[in-house]
Amino acid sequence: MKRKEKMHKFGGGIIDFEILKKRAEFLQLTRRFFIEQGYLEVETPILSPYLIPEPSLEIFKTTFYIRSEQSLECYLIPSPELWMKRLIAQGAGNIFQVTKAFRNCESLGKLHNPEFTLLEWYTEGHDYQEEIVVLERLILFLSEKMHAETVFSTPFRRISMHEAFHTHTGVDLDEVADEESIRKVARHRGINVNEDESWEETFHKIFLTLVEPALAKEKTIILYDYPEKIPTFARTREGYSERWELYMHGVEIANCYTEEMSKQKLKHLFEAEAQRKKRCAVQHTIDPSLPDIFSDYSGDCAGVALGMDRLFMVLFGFQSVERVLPFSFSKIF
Amino acid sequence: MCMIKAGQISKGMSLRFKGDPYIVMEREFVNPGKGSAFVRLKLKNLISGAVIKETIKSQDQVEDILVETKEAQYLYSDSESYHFMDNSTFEQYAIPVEGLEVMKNYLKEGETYQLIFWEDHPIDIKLPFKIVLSVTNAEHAVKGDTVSNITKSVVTETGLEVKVPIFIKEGDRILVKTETGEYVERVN
Repeated sequence: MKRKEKMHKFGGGIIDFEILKKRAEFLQLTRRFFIEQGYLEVETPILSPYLIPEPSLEIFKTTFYIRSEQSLECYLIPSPELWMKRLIAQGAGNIFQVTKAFRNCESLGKLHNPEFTLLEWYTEGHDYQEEIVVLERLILFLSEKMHAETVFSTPFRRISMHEAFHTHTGVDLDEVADEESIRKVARHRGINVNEDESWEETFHKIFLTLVEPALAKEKTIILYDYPEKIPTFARTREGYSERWELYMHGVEIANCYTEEMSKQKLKHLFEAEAQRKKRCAVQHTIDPSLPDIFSDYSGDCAGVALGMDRLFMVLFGFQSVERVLPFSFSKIF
Repeated sequence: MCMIKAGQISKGMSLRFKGDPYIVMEREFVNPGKGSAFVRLKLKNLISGAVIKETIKSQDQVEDILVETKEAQYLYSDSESYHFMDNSTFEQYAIPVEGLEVMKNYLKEGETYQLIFWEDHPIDIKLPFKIVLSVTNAEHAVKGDTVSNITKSVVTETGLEVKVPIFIKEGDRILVKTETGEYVERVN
């Protein structure tokens, strides 16, 4: 069959079987790594009746028909977090999952695909700093077993947000705690900010313009301790969230929190985020019980979410996530 | 006036920003983990030609402005401009190379292209999504992806280097994506 006929018949591009085989090995080794460390592999719903309110994410909405006249709205998960946390809260122990997750309204091709493969794991008794060691071991294991293009050495370089911000802007984050003073910093550096912007929005504009691009020269770097003013489900301490993000060659690959367990704090966060969620294009039912689930839980727990398509892309020197997917969104739609 | 949300901005769109008209050269969605979603833009000022980078919230409103497109034949380029001619009026247009350096990889003399006009001034070239290029040198073997050593680099008639499957030989015509310079298929 000619290549053109083949493309027409099968939809999308020509499949690169070498990449397909390598991808299979990559997924199998990831599972082996966690199983050997005693983690339980779990599966949780992809189609959900409610979600956590996350104003920075747009979601996919669909309908389940009980009968033709009776229907139920449901959503494709942007992350399996809400279900995996329920397993943790009920005593599942250390768990991991490789799942499909869905995010709407993002750009296509280079770093995003609306449907993508997410690895998420939770370790009981760990805080966010201890999870860095698990991450380093995983990446070393995968890159060595698969003879990746880049050779890694551990520990990965770690830098606090406070230090990174100071290095690239000359400003002490602790001294720009109010909206007016952080706006001044932005304007002084030629960044356009509006009067109605929140501290978090101005902070992110400065971060995305001056700090994040500077991380591109690092093979691996862990940015940790984000300002508490950025709302997350991470535990907070002295104005900072116990959170890190892994960047590889400037590409954001994974993030981690020490999980916040306080019912009161989670409830407060849920309410504030549900308000901000109203500005999103697609609305959804808010998870009714997540803030309550940890009320009987004691001890620490930390969780990591890692974009598998992006990690595969970076390990083997590909330039886009589209290249590592046999049927990327832009090829099939 | 047509206002759109920044999240709807796409590459090639024209916008009014801080009072000036701009064309969107690059657009990347960024979601820094938590908090707000942003769009990172690379914009070219349609009057001064200056290129700026801006990060704006995807919820922000921006003004979409109208530009005109006309077909013209590509004649040649010099160090400063790309030269085109309107085939019906024989009027010639010069478009500054600055900021459009990558275009030379996709411009073939004598071929017709879409030009973008802002208030009667030609300001940009709108390339087709994919373009056919002839391979002029297939000897130049470069190490490909580490996963599959089934690709190599070739040079095309415009000087553009493209990673292709090993069966591509000199004289072959290949389809290339203009946005990324990626090989799509052989079109012999």
